Amino acid sequence: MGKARTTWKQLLEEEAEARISRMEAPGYPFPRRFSRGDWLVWALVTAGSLLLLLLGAGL
Amino acid sequence: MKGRPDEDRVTQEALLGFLPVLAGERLYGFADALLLLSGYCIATWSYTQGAYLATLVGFRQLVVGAFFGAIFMLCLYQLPVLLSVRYGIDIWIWLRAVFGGRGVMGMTVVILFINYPWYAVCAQLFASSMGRLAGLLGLDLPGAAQPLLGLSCVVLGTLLALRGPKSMGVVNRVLVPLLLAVGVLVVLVGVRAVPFSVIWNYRPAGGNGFAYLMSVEANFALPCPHRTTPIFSTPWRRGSGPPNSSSPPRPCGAKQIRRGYEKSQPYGWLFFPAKRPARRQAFLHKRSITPRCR
Repeated sequence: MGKARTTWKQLLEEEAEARISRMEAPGYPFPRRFSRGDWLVWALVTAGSLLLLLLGAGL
Repeated sequence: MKGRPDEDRVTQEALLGFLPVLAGERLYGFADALLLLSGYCIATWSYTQGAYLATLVGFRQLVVGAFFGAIFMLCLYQLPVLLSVRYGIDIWIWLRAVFGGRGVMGMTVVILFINYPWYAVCAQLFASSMGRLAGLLGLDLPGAAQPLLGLSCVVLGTLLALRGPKSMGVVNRVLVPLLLAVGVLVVLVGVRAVPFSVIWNYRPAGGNGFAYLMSVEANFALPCPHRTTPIFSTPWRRGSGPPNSSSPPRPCGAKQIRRGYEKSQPYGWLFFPAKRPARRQAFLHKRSITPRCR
């Protein structure tokens, strides 16, 4: 039981290493950073929704 | 897991566990995410919510409150989800940056318990719907059938969930378009039964500013179960790699860096076995990720 667990753990570590190596390889498609433009869109949508909510009280 | 080949276990670990999932291994794409979210938005309990809101506010305020109330609230408390989706990290792992490892475990348990009443509501809706359908077909179900139908909903849902994320994706692709069709049908029936001008000018008795406030609050509460439903986080598990820090890191000392890895960079141990700190450091350095101090 203990040996099987060790083998499994070792296998997981090896798999993790292999995956990390693939991620480190040049050309791996990493996600783009959450840019200033993304933050701006988020802020505008949030503020706009709040504004419309407030205006909705007068309808 | 006993007796399962190691390869299968590794795949399982990558899909549902903590191994980094590579970009090519993603299970769900934009269409699936759209279908899933649409399913949430047009689920049958939304009609219950709509009926309740119609007792508080008129049509125009209801539309404004429903759309912009939900969008406003989602923007605020789904922000961590937006980031974890972008970087392909499960929300359970990502939020270790906020709550720590044990804190996330505690929050997970709390969320599961919070959801139980919600599941009860869904099961009850299913049971009452089935009861009404049976009534339309001329079947008079006894009162004892109601809890049994509710339980069958729970059992069916559990069996479906046990089949895994792929099965859920297939089911969504079938059920959600059907639900959308039902929604369109409901709108058409409603507009044909009542002139649109009457709907547009409808105002409930006793509607006032406080009622609008209550409707907005109800719309805030509406999206909350989405946030806490586990499936909401899993479809976006892309495993596309660790994130770049989205806010400028502050310089910190070696001890703080070490602590910072564990506490503020959840992907620190997600991507790197604990016994390989050097490789972890090199990787983060290569990706210009600087651990942040608290």
